[in-house]
Amino acid sequence: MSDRRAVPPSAAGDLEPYGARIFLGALPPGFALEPFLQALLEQIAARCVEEGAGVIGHLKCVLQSDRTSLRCNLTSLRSGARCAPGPDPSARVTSATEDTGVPGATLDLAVLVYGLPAEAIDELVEEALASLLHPQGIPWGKQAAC
Amino acid sequence: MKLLLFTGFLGSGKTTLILALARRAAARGARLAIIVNEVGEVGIDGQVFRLGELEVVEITAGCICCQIGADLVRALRELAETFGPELVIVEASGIATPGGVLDAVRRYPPPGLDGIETVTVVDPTRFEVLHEVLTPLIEAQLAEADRVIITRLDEATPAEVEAARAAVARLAPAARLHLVEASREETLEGVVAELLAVLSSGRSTPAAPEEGWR
Repeated sequence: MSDRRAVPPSAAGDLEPYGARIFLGALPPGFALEPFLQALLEQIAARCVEEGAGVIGHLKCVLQSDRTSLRCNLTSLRSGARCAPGPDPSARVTSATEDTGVPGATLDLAVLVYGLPAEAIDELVEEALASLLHPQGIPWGKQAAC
Repeated sequence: MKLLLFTGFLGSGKTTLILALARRAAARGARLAIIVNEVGEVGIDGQVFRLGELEVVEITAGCICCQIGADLVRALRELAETFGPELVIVEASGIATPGGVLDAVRRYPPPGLDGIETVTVVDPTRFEVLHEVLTPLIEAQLAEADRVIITRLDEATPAEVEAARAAVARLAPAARLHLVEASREETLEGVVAELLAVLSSGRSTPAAPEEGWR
């Protein structure tokens, strides 16, 4: 498990884990969830590298609402982000909000990269959310867990 | 109670493999529990494991990855006393080495523990880079493995798979090697069946390294 001996100094810098719970406001009809999550992870990962992250460890997220459940993860920019049905078996799995939209959703996000402090990652997450959600007029709130 | 410890770097595919193993073990009637230790305070993997009727205990290290051994020992003891699983699967965080976990469990074994198997998962698409910049961690994760599973064969080039295979042979010469493609269920069957058989027999270390499935 994770003890101090398990995190030796390395050329990649330190790993400062970042986690956040993001509350998304109403998602409009036709809003494509899977491309949104993929773009979010890929944008954050790319910006982390630009800002000096030595190694991308793992970016992962789970989005849940009363009718949608979807999880995505990314381990490298080369492979990109991949999505799969989320953990809630009672939710109807869908990759778009279809005709009626979704009244709101919760997105749990973890960003594990070497070489960037959590504060810097938080700014990149905020930047990515703004670029993807502002144009659609979707409000959000973020609660950083770490 | 058997303990199956999964280690491997962040994003190597531990959760996918554990999910496949747990589903098959549960389908065979095994009473099992999963202990998941994630880096950070947002428990993504724990949510995923709750897909089925899996007993999940989350140990979240928080921002500073401090000593987790005591939490694991406590969790194992509580599971043994309250749930009585035949099999406990521990997913170590991607920045953990097996040594610290094994030390803690061997020093303070839970009641009824009668076998530990350590599995290290390797992502060949990133192995060379990670080995270069995180050498102590990557080598420590391999050094104490009873088994090594190389996954993501669908994404890796043949050269990447070969490089990972060669490194495993050098760094974990006694470990049994499996090659799987987690997105193809049939490639998981062999390794899952063998793990379950080993755990049933109580043998905690494979007799000899041998090529796995592809």
